[in-house]
Amino acid sequence: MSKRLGPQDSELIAQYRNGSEAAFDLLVDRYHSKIYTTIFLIVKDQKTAEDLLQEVFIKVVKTLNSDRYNEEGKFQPWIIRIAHNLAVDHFRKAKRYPTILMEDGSNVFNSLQFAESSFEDKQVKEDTIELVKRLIEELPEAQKEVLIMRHYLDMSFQEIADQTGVSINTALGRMRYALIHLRKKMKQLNIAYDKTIYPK
Amino acid sequence: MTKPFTPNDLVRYIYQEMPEVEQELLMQALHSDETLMQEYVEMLSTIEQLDQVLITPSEKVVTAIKSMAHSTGLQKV
Repeated sequence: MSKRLGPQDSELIAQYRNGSEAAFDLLVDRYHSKIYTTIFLIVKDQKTAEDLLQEVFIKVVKTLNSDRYNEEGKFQPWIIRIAHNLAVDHFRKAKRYPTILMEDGSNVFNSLQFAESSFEDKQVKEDTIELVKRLIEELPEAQKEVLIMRHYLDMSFQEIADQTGVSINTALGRMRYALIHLRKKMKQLNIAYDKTIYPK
Repeated sequence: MTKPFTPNDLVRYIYQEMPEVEQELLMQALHSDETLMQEYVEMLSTIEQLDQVLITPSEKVVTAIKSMAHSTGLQKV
């Protein structure tokens, strides 16, 4: 969703294939949070999500090594697809989404990080993130699924429709209702909206 | 005549899944339809909150992934 500075993924992959460990490290640094977040929001278990994250990168390394990687498809959608498939496979094996499996019910929140942490209102931001995360988990399953697939996995609505066996309009509608649900809850909980958009 | 747009179209627009020609028409519609504009602004604001949620794995796992890649012998020196 955001513009990225630095070398393109394709450059890093080429460098990695030519022997640069640092190039692969940069790819890991670039994607591990995003991939972990998407997996975690599906499996809801820190340990499982970390195991699956490692599996994702193992598959990436094996594919790059075997020269089966096709840059035409672009790295980000490809690695995200791997993550999604692994998370879905886990879901199918488990038959259903597990309930929250955190032992103390809170340790996962300790791993939340922030794109920028220098703000004086860090505590407020932490609270907001916890609430938003909780609100995502409380969404109806069909809405949550679309929201995660579109917003965090970067899948297109057509891909989501194909994957979930619904029409693209249904996928769009589920996303919209997910946003409406979140918005209502955020307003109820008084989560700050942009004051330039919502002046007092 | 302004093309009628639905909230689902706003979702497509925000996530950049709308052809450019349609985007132009939607922008025109936003300027003339306060209800649509309000819906658009609220969606954007909600999505902005989603962007804040990023969870990271433990440092141990990240280090293990990098070590795995380094130790596979894939790299040509």
